[in-house]
Amino acid sequence: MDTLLEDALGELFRHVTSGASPGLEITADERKEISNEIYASGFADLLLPQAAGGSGISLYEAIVLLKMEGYYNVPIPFAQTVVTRAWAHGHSVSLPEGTFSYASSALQIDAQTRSATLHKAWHGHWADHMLIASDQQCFLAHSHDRRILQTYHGGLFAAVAWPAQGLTRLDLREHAAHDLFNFSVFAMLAVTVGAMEKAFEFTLEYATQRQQFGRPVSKFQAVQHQISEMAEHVCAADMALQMAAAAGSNALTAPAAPQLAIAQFQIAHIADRIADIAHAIHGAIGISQEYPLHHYTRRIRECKSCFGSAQYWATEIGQRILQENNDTLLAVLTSAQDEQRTD
Amino acid sequence: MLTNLELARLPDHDEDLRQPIRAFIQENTQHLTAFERARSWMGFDADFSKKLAQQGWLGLTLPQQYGGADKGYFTRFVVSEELLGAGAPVSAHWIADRQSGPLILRYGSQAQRDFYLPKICRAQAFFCIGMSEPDSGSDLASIRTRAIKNDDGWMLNGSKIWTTNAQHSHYIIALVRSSGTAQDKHKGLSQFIIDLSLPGITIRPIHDLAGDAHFSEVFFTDVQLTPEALIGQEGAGWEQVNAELAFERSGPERLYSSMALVECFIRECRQQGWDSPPVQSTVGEITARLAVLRAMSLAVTAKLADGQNPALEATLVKDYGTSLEQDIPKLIDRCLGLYPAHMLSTELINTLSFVSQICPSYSLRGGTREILRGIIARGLGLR
Repeated sequence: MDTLLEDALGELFRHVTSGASPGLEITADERKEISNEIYASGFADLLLPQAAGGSGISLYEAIVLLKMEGYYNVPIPFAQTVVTRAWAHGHSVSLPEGTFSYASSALQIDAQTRSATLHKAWHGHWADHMLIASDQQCFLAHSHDRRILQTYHGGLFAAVAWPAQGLTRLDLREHAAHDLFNFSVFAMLAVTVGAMEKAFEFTLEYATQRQQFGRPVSKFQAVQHQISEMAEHVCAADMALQMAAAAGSNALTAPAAPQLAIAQFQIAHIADRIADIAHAIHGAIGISQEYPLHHYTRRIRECKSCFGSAQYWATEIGQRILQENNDTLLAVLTSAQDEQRTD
Repeated sequence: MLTNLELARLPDHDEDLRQPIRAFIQENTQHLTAFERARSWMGFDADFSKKLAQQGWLGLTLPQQYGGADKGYFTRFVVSEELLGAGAPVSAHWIADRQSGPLILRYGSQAQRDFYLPKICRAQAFFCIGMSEPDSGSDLASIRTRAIKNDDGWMLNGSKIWTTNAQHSHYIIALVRSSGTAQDKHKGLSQFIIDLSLPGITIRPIHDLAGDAHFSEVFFTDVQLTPEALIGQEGAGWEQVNAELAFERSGPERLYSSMALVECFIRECRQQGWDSPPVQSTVGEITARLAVLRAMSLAVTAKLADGQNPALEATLVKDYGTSLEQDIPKLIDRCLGLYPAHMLSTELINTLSFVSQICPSYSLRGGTREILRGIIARGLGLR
């Protein structure tokens, strides 16, 4: 893929985020404006086939674009909207226009009244629509019926509730529900890795500019070794993401569960270490509201375990390995590629 | 700035080699316990190396005219990971096959290639590498072993230490000073191929903390070398050594050092029906981290295959890989320790104990963690 799409989206995201006052929370109007501009650009359909108005690129090729939401700290759920639209197209689910968020865990759905409460919903306070998966059922929740219980600092998550009339049950096959989950996990991971890459750039740049004891702090070995370690973790996170995307043969195929579990583990496993090093190198300025590092480290820390912690995913993976008759681990590791021989 | 590693896949024709070599390894290593397999590329068995050579699996990347297979980096990746993943005793030929052969091909004279490479491919010439000295570890430029030019070639005096397999090898490729002094740092160093049966050479194996003797001290006292012992250019030893390290650092040997322990642990968990969440998460963590690292290692291999020089990426992957290799015994120990009442097999106890003790060496050989992180920092523009 040439970098045409990448350049265009980068340009758009730079533009829409340039007006936001650094460090301060964005207003609802500003957010709406940004949302409209991105939506109007047509990028929300980028995973759709060309015939359907999309760019026809694969999920693997789209990684660099999905990561940009985290990299540019874009205040709308861009990646989730993109994968949701691809999923809906692939499964012939008709969805309304607008931005989407998704939730599948830590929610209460009242069986009697079918009202729903979510205490940590990704952009829950303001995404146009929320897809809520629960016990083999999937509901579409609209913003006009939404009750915002609390908006958390940083503006990424909120506690929200819907009354019964605000939920529309979608008639999905089990396969479609799984795909939606896998797409959503992938979108969140991509955003997280994008934030990691930005935090790494900030750290690298700060270390070479900040002078102490008469020289840049990057000249100190203790600092160099921490940044080298951070580079390794960021590189591994990106590789894990690529592995998850490569398992799908085209844009409308959701990432395969085993590879996605590995990616989710790897990224959650090293997320805090990346954020810790970024802050350690920055010193006190990194803790200030004015300096933008916290936008990225907040994303890293808060998004890493949305769908389960490293330990949770490790347990999932281990269970599968232990059940896999008598294969050696080497056989499992080296067979992953065979499963990907879809072409 | 850090360039991303791009996911790569093994070409199908290289992948096709996997099953035959796996079957061969299985047949020829049946007698080995996990404790023995845990030696990984320190396990010595000259007969096994000869059998591999008969199959044509040595000198894979060397040209056919020297008895090699003329294959690329991907082929070597498949063969290496099968051997290392199974804990096959590869150490006899390992250094010759991985490093010395490619070095001789690249920097050697035609006569040197004709002489050494066919022997390497037939498992008739085992090599070791002389780098460290008693007073020169990470600071390689300070080495004191010296070759002085004379009428017959070179007169060599000095010593090397921590030389893996010196006591089993036919040749050592040593980095020594051929001109100048320690103040000249990297200038004036040269590489020599030295026949270890020459008069004036004494080899003293050093026992390690696990009771093995896989490395040695090598003393050179008035060893007369022929002019042909010099490989490459006089004074260019440092550059040659560094080119060599790029090959060394990226391979699967930085993934699978603790693999025998992992397989033993998983086998025992299955046999005993241990499948509690902590056991599952331990197996899962090891699996996931290995899978990602393998993909990173493969991505570096793809860059090599593409003719690039991924020295920085290789260094990064090596450091990351050895960190995992060293975490593995700790993860397994922590997991097993949750169940003091479980009766572990003597094989698992023995293997875990061995890997726990020897694993500090994983991040020493081929450049210490501190040296590698310094190299990465330089690549990132911090130094």
